[in-house]
Amino acid sequence: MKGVVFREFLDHAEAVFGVALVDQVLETADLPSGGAYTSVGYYDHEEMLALVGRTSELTGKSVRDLLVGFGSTLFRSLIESHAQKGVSHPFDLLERIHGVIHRDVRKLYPDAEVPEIIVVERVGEGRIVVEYRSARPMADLCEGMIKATFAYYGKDGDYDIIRLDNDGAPLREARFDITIGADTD
Amino acid sequence: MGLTLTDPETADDVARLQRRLARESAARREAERLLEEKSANLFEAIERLGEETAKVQRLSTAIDVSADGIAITNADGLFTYMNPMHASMFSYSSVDECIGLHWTSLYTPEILTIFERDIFPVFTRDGYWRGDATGRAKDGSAVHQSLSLTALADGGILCSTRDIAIAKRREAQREQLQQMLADAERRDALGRMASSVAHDFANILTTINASARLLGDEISPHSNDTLISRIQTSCRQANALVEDLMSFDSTPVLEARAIDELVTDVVEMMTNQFIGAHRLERIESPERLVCETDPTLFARLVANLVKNAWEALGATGHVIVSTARIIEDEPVDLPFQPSATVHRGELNAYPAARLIVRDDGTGMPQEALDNAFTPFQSSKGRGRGLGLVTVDALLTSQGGRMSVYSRPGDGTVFVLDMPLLEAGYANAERSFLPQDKVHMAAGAIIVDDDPVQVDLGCEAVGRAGWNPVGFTDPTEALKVFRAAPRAFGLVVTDRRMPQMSGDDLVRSLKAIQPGTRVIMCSGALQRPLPVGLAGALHKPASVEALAEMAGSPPDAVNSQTSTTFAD
Repeated sequence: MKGVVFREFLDHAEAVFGVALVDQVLETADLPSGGAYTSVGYYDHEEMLALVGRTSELTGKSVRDLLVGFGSTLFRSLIESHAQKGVSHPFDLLERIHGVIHRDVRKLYPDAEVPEIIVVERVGEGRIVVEYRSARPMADLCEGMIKATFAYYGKDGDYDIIRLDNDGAPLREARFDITIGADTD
Repeated sequence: MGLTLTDPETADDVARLQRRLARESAARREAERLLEEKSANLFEAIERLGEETAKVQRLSTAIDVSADGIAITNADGLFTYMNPMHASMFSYSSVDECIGLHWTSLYTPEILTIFERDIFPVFTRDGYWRGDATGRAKDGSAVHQSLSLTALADGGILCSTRDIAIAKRREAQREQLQQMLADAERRDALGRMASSVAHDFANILTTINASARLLGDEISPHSNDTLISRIQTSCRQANALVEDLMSFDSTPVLEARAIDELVTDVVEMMTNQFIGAHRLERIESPERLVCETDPTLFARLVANLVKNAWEALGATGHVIVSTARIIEDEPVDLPFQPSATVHRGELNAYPAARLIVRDDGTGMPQEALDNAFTPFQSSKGRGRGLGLVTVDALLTSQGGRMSVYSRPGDGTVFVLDMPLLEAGYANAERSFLPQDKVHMAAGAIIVDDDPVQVDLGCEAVGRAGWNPVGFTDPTEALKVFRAAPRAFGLVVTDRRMPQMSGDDLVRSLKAIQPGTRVIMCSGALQRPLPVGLAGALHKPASVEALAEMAGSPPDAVNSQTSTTFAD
């Protein structure tokens, strides 16, 4: 996993839980890298799971909540540094992930193992179905980033999302069925 | 509020900051290491890219200047690349004209139908197609091409094409050149043959001329009859040469001949050339030397050797022609220590006949001797140098050898060894059957491709008491003879027959039954005649003459004796 994701997570945790907790996590999580992450490096995703797991233990927050929350922060960081010109609707951005954004990532980082985030169905601007597949169990992170996408484009609270995980590959394969403008009560 | 290191909270903050600083420092070092690594990788990648770029440029140049037309279409069938040759083949002045064109614009609707029906199914199935297809040039003319289509990963097509018309024109030009070369070789061969004929005719004419001059010379040592005989012999030799030319064949035709007799004939014929202080001597062998040889070629060879020897003589000189029988590889008794030698052919069988032509003329150095066997290389500055060239063909065909020894100022010795035929031919006394005890039956075979002549022959030998049977096909006659050789004591045959020559028939008959009497009756009785003839009659021969030559058949008692002997 790219080092920038680790640094973003530590910044996110520091902002939410404070410097002391992050220091405690790093000191006690038994990390092979020692917690010294650089944005241009690659690290085993197990370290991310260890970081999130230790944070969960120390804060009492669930891993899912931590990852969904981190997904929101990570999305904002990425969209600020890689603005997507001409995109004004969250569906359009989701559609660009596989064919454009991840292709650009591979251009910059040929060794990067990006997850598959593919739009398998879209009905105008009302409904979209996105499938997630990855060798890493980060469906929660993906969900957080999807939600952040809707918030970024002003659709927060205006959509309904149904997540269905593949029982055979929990957290590694998930399907997100999202509807905008439906009754959200 | 001031900070003191003794404050526990402050101390924790400091420790935390120190740990964070340590992590950041470690991260920075790792980042620097990674950057250096990436930088090195990038440098290598740039270098590889440069090499690949140069390689691609070279390939691109090669494709651009290729003699084959090469084009690439995209998935929509539009040309995205085309080399100049491809554009030229289709009469476009530049490649730019073709880029963006659809490939179908290069074919007529009829050909496109063939593409749809026959080519594309195979192309779609296999990913490639090879074959011939006629395109349409910009000016409407046909482009006959050998076409190769290969499917590309992006859905496009790589097209390689070769103008067959150019290849066909080149092939035609090549054939034309080969034809010209063959014509030149034929003309050269014709020239060689003409030179060879001229060379031989010159020898014959020299003899005729010398004899004719002596005819009017009152002090000539030769009688007029002898001189006339020599002229007639030379004329027959000329006729034989003409016949050879009419049925020209470079392959020697071998037959059993007594070469000592041939040598004597040739020497006799050439005696006229040796006048004044020049002498020609013939030393004959005490026995007949029968070899399998081409008599015409052999006689020509001997004549050339004698002529060369004569030409090598100075103001005075002596040429000796001798023949002998050798039973092993006997050394030659040379009159000088040779400084130049040449050996041609191999002799693997004995006994053998040995012909020696010796002169005490100018002799030859090694170089001249080597050239003597090369066609058209005359060391004498005249003639065509053909005399010795025929030796190779003769030696090869009959397994003989020639050795030449020479010494400038002392002379030259030519030694020709040829294997003798085995018993029955080499020595008349050693025939298969005792000739004095063989008595044939009264049956006679008459062979002539002219049925009128067959009838005449049958009548003639019938008058003499024979029981004749006639054949117009010599091969049929041979079959009958082979089935019952003892039943026939006489064969009368023509010489020129379409199915088989009379000479061949005589050889075959003699091989089956050496004692059979054979008479050749022909309008072409020029020498050499086949070995073993009992007689020869010129056509048209009278019934009386043929009957007289046939003689009487053996009586019944002798026939029975013969049959008893054979049993």
